Amino acid sequence: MSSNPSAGPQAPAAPPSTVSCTIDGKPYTFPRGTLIVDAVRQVGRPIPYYCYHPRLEPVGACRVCMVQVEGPPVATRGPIVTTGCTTPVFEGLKIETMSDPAKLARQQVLEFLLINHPLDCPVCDKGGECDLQDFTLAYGPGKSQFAEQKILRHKAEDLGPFLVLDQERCILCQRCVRYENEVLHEQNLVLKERGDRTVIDTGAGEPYAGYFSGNNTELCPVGALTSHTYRFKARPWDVRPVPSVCQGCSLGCNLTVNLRGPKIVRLLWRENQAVDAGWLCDRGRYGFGHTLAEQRLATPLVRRDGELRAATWEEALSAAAAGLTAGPAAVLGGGRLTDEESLALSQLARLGLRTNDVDWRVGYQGFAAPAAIGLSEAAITDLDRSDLVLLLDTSPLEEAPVLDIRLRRTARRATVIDLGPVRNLRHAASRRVACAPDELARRVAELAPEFAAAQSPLVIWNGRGGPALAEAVAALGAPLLVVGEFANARGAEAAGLAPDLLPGYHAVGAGAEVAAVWGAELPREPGRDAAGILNAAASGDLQALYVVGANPLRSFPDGELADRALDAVPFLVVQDLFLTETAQRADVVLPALGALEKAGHTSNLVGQSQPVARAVAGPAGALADGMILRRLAAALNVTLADQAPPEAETPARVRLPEAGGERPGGGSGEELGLLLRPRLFAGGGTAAFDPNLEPVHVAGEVRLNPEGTDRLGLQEGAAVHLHGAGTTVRGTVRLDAGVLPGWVVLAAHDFGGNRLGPRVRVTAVPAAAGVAAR
Amino acid sequence: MPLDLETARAAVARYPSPRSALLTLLWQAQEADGWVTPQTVETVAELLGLTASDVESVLSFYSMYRRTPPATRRLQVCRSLACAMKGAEEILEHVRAETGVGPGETAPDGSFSVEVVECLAACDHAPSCLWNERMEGPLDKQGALARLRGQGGDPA
Repeated sequence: MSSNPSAGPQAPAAPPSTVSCTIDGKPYTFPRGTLIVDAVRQVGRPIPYYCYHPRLEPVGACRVCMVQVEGPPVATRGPIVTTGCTTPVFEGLKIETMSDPAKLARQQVLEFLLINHPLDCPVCDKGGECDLQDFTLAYGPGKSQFAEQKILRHKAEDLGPFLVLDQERCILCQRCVRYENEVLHEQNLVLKERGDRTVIDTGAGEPYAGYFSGNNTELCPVGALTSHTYRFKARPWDVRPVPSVCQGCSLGCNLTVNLRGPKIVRLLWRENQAVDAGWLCDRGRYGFGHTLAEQRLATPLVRRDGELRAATWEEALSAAAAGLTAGPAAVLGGGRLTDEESLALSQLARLGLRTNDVDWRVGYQGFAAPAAIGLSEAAITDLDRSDLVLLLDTSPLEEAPVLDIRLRRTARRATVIDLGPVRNLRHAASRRVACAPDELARRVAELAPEFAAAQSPLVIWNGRGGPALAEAVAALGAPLLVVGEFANARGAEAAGLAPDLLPGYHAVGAGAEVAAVWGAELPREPGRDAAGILNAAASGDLQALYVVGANPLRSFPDGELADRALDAVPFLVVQDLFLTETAQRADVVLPALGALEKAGHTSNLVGQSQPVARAVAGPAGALADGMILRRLAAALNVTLADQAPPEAETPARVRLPEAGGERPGGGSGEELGLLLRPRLFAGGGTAAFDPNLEPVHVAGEVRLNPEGTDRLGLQEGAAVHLHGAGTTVRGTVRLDAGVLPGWVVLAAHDFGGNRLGPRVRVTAVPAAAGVAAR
Repeated sequence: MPLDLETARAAVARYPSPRSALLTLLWQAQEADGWVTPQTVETVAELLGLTASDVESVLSFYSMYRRTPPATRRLQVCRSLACAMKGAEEILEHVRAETGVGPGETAPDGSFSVEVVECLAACDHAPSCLWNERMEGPLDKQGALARLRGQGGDPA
């Protein structure tokens, strides 16, 4: 352990902070409190263990890390064997890892652990990377004296969308139970029954319900907890590991892609304490199925005689170039590109299309970097020492799940204020302040005295809300973490994919340094933001629209405007992985490669640029966005710069959209205010097309406060119609006491919710109509 | 009659940490309902600020919490040394032979159940038993059978 556990206020007669002891005869010094198992690991001596895990509290359950110790605390008894995971090192302690008593103790423990184990290694997914296999070979007795009948337990129990449990392989180390308890505070997996009948299971045998089930498969030291997606797919010695970064959300958790031949078979965590603390969420871990999805676009499409038809890249790019230069054009999207690709798109827009009508903000998020609204930046690890956190109408669980794990730990010792119309911190204590969206700025201002008194306050916000809310947040003076709506929102903003920004946070109109790198004059007038661009398109002021990795028909808060704009614009180019609702309207569709199919860098929510590798090839007919941009730029006679322009000394501020992606007004009685809030498994990016995520995909979910729903005849699971702005959308009721009464919550990016306007009526679908509809 | 919330809250208040009252509350609920219902698990979890899974985990550890509605007539026979020597096994065998209901089983119509338990500390009454949770003994095989069949006076 490198950290000093005695840091903090020192007692007057503090004992020395280090202790000296010997391991297998050699002297070492360790910080006081270091566990023997950590000490032995640090000096490179082998020691077996199952229940011990560096990210969990010690428990001493498996008894296999037995070592012989002798020294002052046990001097009167002579040498004894004890568990290394629960015993700290003492001054003068002599630790023997390979003495005969230690070896014998480990042998006997291993023999007991295998008594009821089925020894089905040849058909077990864990075979080849199983600690039970490895340690039994290295330290076990080699044969069993057990002649009695083994206790038979459940095999291949289906624990829900991702997990499979083989109870008979379990050695009850309780890593999963402790992870659920200590890390998640969820207890999806618990111990049941007693003695030799003890098993791991979900509480009442229901499916595993949380977002972080997959970490259990990596914590499990044996083959008890495995995943549906990897079951019988590969052997560890067959797979090729490629380190990369998850681009499912803006946190950028580090991961390792495992390939068998050309296919991804699984994703594993790759611990980065400063970002992910070693964990992955289930969307990140299992959301690789889209790489091989049948609906992937594998060839460019060009509209001929009203139909989208397959075309060559040459045909598609020359059609795109001609259409985009026929009149005023604008660019939407970019939040899912790599840093390099965002820069290329920024340059292509300014020099190829001669416009500042560029915006990555095709959803609710108004800005990405705290500096863009004049605030100071928090580090992710600041959460580990904050004493006051404001969660501003933001759900880390739905928007950047692994950040929520860290926040749950923070909430154990610090005050977390969960402010907004929907309860967002579910698995930890927090101070809930419920209020309507239009009261947020006032409520934030009321927190000023508390923030002034705090030692190390912090605000977590997803950047939704207008300039007034931003001003209120700025007045708190606390550092800010901005959870991004799109994985690389931060990179897009830094590349100047905004109407008033150039790369490096130079203001439009003051970009001499950018112009120098790009070697050309830049358009000087600030452009229009996403709403402005869509309005211009709808009213016929734009000739062409280039949509890159975005689906405004789903993601833009005013779906009706997006709809009119896409209908009215004479020429539409869409670059995406799938034929999304937006792509279906296009005149030219350019098939792109996905996040795991191209190399580059991606910036996470604190602006840390992390390298991503090209792990798989992707469809043969698709190209990386960067390559498409390069070829399109060539068709537009623009040479893309190799290097990024330098950063501005003082970052230019970004102008926030007035509406802020939010709708005014709640409701009561028959009319309810409509909120669009992120849900992890909703949306039309890759999740909607991913067969691995199909069982958990969220569509048509209507969240309501239980209060007053009886009167409307709406119970849990009821089919309902939502009526608003002349549109009707069908959904299913989920009662949620965390929703402010008078409001209804639909998933942002779920299709149809953004077409309903600010207020809706909810009516039960008559039973007969429900049957007829089926 | 479900768990009395007032009594339950009083029990919670006796402990420094709410979780410590878990066994007590489950016991109170079982006394009220005759068994621990799924609703009890939810209620107790909410009262103590635990998850239902956590309550389920503890509940499954202890064998004296009933997870199904109890039979109308319940016989628990001691099988520890003194009672075994005085014929407890023989009584259990007789009941099984006559009714088909063995130790740990309930009659298909739910009218009675038979269980074995460890020492009831009533060796002087061997073979001793609990009739509907009330201590009795010595037990004889004809009497046991008759009463299980609802003949010869049910205990209160």
